[in-house]
Amino acid sequence: MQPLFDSLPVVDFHRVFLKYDNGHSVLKNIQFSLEKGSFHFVTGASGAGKTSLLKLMYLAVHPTSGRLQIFGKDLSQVSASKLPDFRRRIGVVFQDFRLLDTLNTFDNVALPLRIIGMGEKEIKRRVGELLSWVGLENCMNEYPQALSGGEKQRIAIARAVINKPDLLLADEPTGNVDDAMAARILHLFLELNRLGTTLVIATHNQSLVRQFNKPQLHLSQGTLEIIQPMMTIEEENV
Amino acid sequence: MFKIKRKLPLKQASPFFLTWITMLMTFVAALTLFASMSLNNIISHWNNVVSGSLTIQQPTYDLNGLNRQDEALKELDVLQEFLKNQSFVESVHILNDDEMEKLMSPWLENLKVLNELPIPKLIDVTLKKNASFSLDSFKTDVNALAPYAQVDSHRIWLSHLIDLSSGIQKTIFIIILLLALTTAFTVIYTTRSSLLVQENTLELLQLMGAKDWSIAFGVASNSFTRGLCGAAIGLILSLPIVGVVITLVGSTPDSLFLQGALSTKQWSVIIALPLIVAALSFITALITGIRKLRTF
Ligand SMILES: Nc1ncnc2c1ncn2[C@@H]1O[C@H](COP(=O)(O)OP(=O)(O)OP(=O)(O)O)[C@@H](O)[C@H]1O
Ligand SMILES: [Mg+2]
Repeated sequence: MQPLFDSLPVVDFHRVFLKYDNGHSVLKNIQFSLEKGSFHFVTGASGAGKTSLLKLMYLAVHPTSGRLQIFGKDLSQVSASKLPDFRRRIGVVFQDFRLLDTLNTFDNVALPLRIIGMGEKEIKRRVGELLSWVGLENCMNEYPQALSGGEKQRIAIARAVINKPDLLLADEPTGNVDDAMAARILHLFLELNRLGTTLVIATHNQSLVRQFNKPQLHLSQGTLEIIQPMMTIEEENV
Repeated sequence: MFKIKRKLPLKQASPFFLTWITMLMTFVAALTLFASMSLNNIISHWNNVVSGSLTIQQPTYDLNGLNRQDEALKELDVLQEFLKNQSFVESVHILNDDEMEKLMSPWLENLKVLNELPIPKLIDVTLKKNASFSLDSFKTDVNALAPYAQVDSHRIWLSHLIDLSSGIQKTIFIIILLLALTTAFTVIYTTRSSLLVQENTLELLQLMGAKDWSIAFGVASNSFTRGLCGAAIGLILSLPIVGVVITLVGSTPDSLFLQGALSTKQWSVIIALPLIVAALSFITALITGIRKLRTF
């Protein structure tokens, strides 16, 4: 499925509100759009709604009101049977990883490829390549229970990028790895971004934000403010 | 599609419980089917044999125990002639002494006594197919020629037997229906509860773009395999019992029940039970799965 016009934003929020079933109003009047190939951080205090914002983008929750367009399509107009086509173009690194305990490293990473029905030979090649890139080629047959937090995080990242998604959403992707591995992961993301993947990374890690100097979608008290890179540096200096 | 089933993490989707239930259900279903088909065969055989024939007894003694053998034999000839001329009669056969001996041999040790016993002569009348006639007026005609003769129609006791057997058939049908329903409900229950247990996995698969039907297909394939295994074991366990029954029946001489032997077609229904059960499990799990996934 190719977007009709490459110029259409990959993500477009128009006056989006999100209220959870318990009545908690998390996001209010969110309005922004992300161009194809852009790179944004999502920042804000704990509980500000960063994960909730990503959930809207990976179609795990629906806006309570407002219009949300992904790949140029208004999601409220998309039938449930077409949602998988959208989701297959989106890679997600979950804050809590969400690896499957019953699968070993290889099978966890291979999951998105198996869902799209790729041949086992190609899967083996791709997964093997990526796992050695993130330094986990020796853990292929391990199960998540036997892995460290940082290793699990790298598996979650490998799973999110294995199918070269058009939109990559990463929720605290470097929270459990050392700085060297964090830089390595970010460079992988940058490489994908350079190849056209639209990138959104939610993080607390200010040094990361400073280092990469990209626009921020900053959340506070349920509202969103876009902070442009230059401002960030100035702000930090204040 | 089978690759999805094998590779997606849906293994625990149909708990082992399903195997046990399908095993039990198939075990009972196989025995019930075997019994009902045999019974059906016996009854329909009897029905064919009996409804196409009549027996007339011509006593050689009168009611006071006086020997009237000569008269009786004369009447017998007249009766035979009369019967041959009836439009609904196919053939008439008077049982000779050898045949009588054979008929009596299970009951009499010393066949020599046969001549001294007041055993009536027997006329075996085969009726034409679809013959229709009034039994009452036939009896009157016969007694006009041979006052002591008795016409035995097997239809009377047969009709009771047929009533009984159709009652049994209905009961068996209900049993089979209950077995099928129980199996279906078990599949629905196990599929639902396992989908709930795996909610996280399923949500993850959905978020990665797995289609509901392919997830449900994976779950259903597991149910199929479990159903097939359980049912196959159930069938295998029922076979020794069926075997014992067949052997017992086969060892009784001239057994009426031999007519109950199942045809190839009937055997294939019993042998196909595991496939039927597995298909039932598959379809039920598929529908339940898709409906459940839509609610996530
Ligand atoms: N499923 C839910 N139902 C009800 N309330 C929720 C749910 N998920 C999150 N919330 C609430 O919404 C608010 C925002 O949560 P969210 O997870 O989006 O924050 P966050 O910015 O990602 O926080 P953190 O930095 O700690 O990950 C929180 O107050 C949380 O309690
Ligand atoms: Mg969060």
